[in-house]
Amino acid sequence: MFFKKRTKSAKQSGISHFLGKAIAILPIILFTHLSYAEDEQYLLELKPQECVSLYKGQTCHLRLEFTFMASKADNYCLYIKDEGEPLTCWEMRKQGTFSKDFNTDKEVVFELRRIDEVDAVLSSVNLFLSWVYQVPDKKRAAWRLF
Amino acid sequence: MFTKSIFTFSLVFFSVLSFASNKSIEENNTSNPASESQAYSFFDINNSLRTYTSLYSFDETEVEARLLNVRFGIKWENGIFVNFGNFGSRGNGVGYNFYDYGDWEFDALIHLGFNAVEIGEGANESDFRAGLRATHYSEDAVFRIIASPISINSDDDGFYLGSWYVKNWQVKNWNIHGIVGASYYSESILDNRFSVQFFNDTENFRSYKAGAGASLEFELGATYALSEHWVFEASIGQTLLSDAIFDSPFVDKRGQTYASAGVVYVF
Repeated sequence: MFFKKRTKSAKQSGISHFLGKAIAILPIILFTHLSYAEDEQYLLELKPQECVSLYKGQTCHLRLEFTFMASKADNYCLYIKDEGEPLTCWEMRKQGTFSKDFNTDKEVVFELRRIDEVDAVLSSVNLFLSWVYQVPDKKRAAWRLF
Repeated sequence: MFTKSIFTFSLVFFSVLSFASNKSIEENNTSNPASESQAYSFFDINNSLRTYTSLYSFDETEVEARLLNVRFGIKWENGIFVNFGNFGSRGNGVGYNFYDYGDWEFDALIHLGFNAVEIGEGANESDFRAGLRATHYSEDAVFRIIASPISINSDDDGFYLGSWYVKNWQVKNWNIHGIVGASYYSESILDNRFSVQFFNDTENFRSYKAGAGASLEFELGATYALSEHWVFEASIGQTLLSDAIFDSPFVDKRGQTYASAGVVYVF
């Protein structure tokens, strides 16, 4: 009996504790949700996101298709990370597309930034590279041709 | 023949032993280009359709499906290698890389000279040969020369000399290659493949004894990476036969043409 009483008491105490915590957390959740809704949101998409070449280190060629979306219209530009000149810009747009023939021998990060605030990266996307033959040069793969 | 095989294998392994000590010394010397030699391994499975005209007058043009055709190349740290490429006949085989100097590689090699042929009442054996191979690599080209004075499975050695120049181009993500090659066969090699007397078939063919001769070959091919493991390959090629081969009554074409296309799974 003593054991039962103690159990019931512990259960009641647990419920009260939970309700207390929920009441305390609720305003925080609501506040977070509202501020999130007010935040500007950006999305930069890239297709395809991977380029495959035959040998490691070989330049990979592909046609890139970019799509961007923003929650409000503004002046946006598309950059390659660590490069000063934009690939393209969109003026007072909240969405847009851009296509480009591209070649690279290393992974590249593309970034969406505002024209007047180029240091702030709003969204970014990676172009990954992969190879069939993981050799540093063609020397050791030459057997294929003979 | 058994003695000859023992002799050839001894030659290769003597090369292994004699150069192994030199190599270990060279590998410790970082300024020596020989230390650039590295191990590698490649393994792929080719599935393709191949059409070719036969050399022999009694064969029609063939179309064959090459399914699960295994190709591989392995080279160990100690310089021993096994490599079988497209057809295994352009100086690929089993050997020992005994010296590297910059863009040059020098190897002792056992390779396949000629496949077995069945003609009339007789059939010859595949010609496995032993010799030396030198390969030069530049940015987009490979030059290879092979001289093999020893036949492993024939008492009559003969002499084989082959050389190829391979040029690579990249066009977008396509890898294009062109090959120009020449092969010299001594009289004894061609005799037991193209001489009528060798096959004891003088009833059906006029008498002919082949001499020495050189053939030329050309190939143009393309390779495209479909994914990290799948590759598309295609090639067309032409071999121009020497007079010694073309004059044989077994042969009714001056050249042999082939074309193939397929996909390869690379492990």
